Amino acid sequence: MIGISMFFTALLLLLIGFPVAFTFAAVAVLFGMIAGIVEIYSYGGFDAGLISGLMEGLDEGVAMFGYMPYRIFAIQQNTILMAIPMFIFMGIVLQKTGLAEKLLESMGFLFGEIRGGIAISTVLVGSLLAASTGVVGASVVAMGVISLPVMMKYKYSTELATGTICASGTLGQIIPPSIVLIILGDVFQVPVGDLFKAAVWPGLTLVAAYIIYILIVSYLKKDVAPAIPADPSRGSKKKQVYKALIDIIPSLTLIILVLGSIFGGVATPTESSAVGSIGAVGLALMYNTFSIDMIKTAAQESVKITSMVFAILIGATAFSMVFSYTGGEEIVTEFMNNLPGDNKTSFILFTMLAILILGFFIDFVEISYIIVPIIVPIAAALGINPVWFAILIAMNLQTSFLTPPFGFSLFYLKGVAPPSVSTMQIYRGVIPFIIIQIVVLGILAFYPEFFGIDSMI
Amino acid sequence: RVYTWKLATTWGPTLSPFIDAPHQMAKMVEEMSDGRLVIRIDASNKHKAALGVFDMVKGGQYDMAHSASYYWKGKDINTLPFTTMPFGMTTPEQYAWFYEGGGMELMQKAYAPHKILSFPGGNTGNQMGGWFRKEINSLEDLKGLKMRIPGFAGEVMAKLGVAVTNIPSGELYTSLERGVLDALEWVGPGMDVNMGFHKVAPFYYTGWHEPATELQYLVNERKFDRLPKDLQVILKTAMKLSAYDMYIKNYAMSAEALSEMDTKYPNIKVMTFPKPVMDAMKKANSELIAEITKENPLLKEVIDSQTAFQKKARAWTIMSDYNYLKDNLQ
Amino acid sequence: MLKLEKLFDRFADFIGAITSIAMVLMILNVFYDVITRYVFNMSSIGMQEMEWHLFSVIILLGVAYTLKGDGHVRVDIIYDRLSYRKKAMINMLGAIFFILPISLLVGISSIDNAVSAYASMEQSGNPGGLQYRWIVKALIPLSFLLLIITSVGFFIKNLNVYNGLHPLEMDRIKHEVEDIKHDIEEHKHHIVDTDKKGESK
Ligand code: NA
Ligand code: NA
Repeated sequence: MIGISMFFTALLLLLIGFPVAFTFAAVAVLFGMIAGIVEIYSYGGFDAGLISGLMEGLDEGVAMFGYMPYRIFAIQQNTILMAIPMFIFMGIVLQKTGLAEKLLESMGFLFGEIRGGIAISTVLVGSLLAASTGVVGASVVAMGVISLPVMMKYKYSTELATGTICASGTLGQIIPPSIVLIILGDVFQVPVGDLFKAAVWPGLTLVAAYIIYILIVSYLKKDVAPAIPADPSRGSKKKQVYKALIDIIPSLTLIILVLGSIFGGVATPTESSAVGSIGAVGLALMYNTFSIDMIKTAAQESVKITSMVFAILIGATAFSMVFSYTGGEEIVTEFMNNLPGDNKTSFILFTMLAILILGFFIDFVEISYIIVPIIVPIAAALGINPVWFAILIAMNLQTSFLTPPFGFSLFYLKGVAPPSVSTMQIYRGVIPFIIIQIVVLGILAFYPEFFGIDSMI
Repeated sequence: RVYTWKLATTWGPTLSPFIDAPHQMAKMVEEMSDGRLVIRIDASNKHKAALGVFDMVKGGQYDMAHSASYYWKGKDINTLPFTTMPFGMTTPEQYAWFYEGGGMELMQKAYAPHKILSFPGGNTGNQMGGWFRKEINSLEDLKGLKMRIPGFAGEVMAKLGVAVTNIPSGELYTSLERGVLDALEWVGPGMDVNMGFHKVAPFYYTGWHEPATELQYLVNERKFDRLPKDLQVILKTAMKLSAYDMYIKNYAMSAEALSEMDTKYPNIKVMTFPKPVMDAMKKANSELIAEITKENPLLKEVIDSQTAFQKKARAWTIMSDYNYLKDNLQ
Repeated sequence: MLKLEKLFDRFADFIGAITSIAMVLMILNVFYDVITRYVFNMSSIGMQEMEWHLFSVIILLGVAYTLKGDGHVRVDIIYDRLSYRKKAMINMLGAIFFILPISLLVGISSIDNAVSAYASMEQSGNPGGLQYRWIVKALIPLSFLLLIITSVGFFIKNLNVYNGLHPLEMDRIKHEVEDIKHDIEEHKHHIVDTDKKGESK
């Protein structure tokens, strides 16, 4: 029972708003001590007296944390996770080169003349950025600054515009390379390269689904996304296509460097992140945006984001250590095995629903490090293919970036949108995209063969 | 009173037959002691520190561990030779050394500074030399070859110009598939086929570097001393028996996998290294041993004891098994 | 008190500088290893081990640095709506009851491990691996020590906010958004300039 009450205590304490990493760590300390006291009590350690029993119990609790240094040392040596800071670094450098903005501009003008055109080019640029980096914040902000004003100027509905930006900006989490997939690869102990490969089709399906949705909506409702008049000053159509192609080159270069070096056998996924980082710096040099200052800020920013992730990992390690030593895992396993109906289907439905709901409140890093490790052995016992299950979770977690009230994507967009755009408009705007994601998630869950993935081992 | 012990393994919960040894040992202990000594087993997915088990037993976080002695080479070089040595003894020879040739005493002497007791924990038998994407015909073919081969054997290979590469075990298959690695060594047919290496690197070379890999039980000495005499004997008996059982189980698994390999995966080509390559390995090995024993008297004592015993035992192996096999190959 | 706060900030920035350098070195290190292996068929276990040594510096020391810029993610459903004083109070209590216990517990229990690695001069067990393993092991107690120091700074900063000496800094996402926006604004000028050949803006 300690494990379960520990879990709910953590959820409650998180609401206070103190950093998540330390909240989990503190709950671990508290319940580690309680578990120590309970253990000593159950062995009759209180027979000698209350105080000596308590002291012995606290000793037992403290002793449990003696495992922590070894767990942390194992994290230090985890070369798979080393990819995280380097992919973040690469994303930040790319963002600082301003190449994304150029691409967004030229694509926007290229497709602007069809209804919904700017929204579609936002999705396309979003997926290119996703395949070259995958830093959510940067993509959303870039598109919020560049394409939102354009869409608003040409009388696109605010809901469609904001929804498109938020959804396209989060594509980086499912389209490889992706931090979520790296973390899940670590938690599931499956090759990150396999996850990257398996995520390509589901990711592209999502892109296609977004575009089809935009086409349909702008066709059905005339004033949602009107066509914009051709701008002769931009040159002939041919010239525009040419310019767009030129502007795609930098992102394509990075995609080839990163995914090419993984699938071409030059580098492991971790190493490809260094190749990509150097490539991004090379692009900055080529496009004359390089400066020592840029490297400095990029390094500082990636250290911050990385430490944020690893602080949570260390907090989560302490938490799950106490959780598992107090028998919490057994209770969850028993619960999962007693779900009604066919075990595999009910397990998938239940875990997907639980992750979706938790995603409304907590971050993907916490979910990946606290919740997922508990369900991994159960999935393995049911014979579920870990690659498929990891992709399902990744897709599900991607949705959490969009779900109000705490979707990261929404925060980022709100931060750059003009004051006339209300939070409610953004919330309403992302709803259709959330539905699309859940539909694609459903297809992946029940018709995995459509994506060429086996659901069982 | 009931003693509740905790044991940490270097292996994951499904790495059979390694993981089976401690489970079987714990079961025997509990039954033989009528429930007075209960050992709970945490696999590496639970304690998350596969190679931290030495320190955790030393520090008392765990009462015992199941691992392999050569992993501690960096902490204390004297622990190196108790697993196996390149071109060293075969499994029966090595067990004879441990139990009758003074090996056990030397092992306790090596672990004494750490207040740890060490016992044999099961043997994999002769390990295979590894999976290669390309055939090795000369020493030249080894130059620049990217190979995952950890430990002392890796040092021998490095001396021959192999680019020894560290890759996390989860990434091994894909690295070999895509050419990040040209070769790797794992264990033997029984365990290798599960990893699928044969699909991407069809040249399977016979062993030279780990002729008798002995796993190891580590026990915290202070905790062991606190056990009543009868439980100590029960524990030691169960460890010894489980070690022998693992050896047998692994032998059967490998035989099974090999026959499966022949029918299911006919593309696998079992190879032996050409003589010049083997000779160069032997030479590099002797040089390395001379180097590490120079400043470590205890290590020298152990290796000298192994070499002397191997000489005697090998004469008998040749007289008995080798001649028998040679004359009865069909 | 404000001066004291500045002092702690400077200390955190120093950690930030070290970790940033480690970050750049790690990228170069990994890139070097890929190139030497792929192009020159050479490989050094020592250099490969250096990768995770640098990674350790980033993740372990970075935790303390990130606390200074309020970079650790929070669940801010309620927190966001509170007054500065209430937020500051949460942060002060959090530093004492949430950060301090775990830092002491893990920090102290990790000292032995580093000391014993030093005493036995533990080194890598791999061919050509690195020596002085106590250094990476000592990073663990060091990281918690630094975290305790920066959380004292964090406490003082929030005490100053509580006493009305200055407002609380913006949260992480707002910070980040401002930075990126700033970058993009700069690029925009750049883009417009090149497109219209310096005629506008
Ligand atoms: Na991505
Ligand atoms: Na091996």
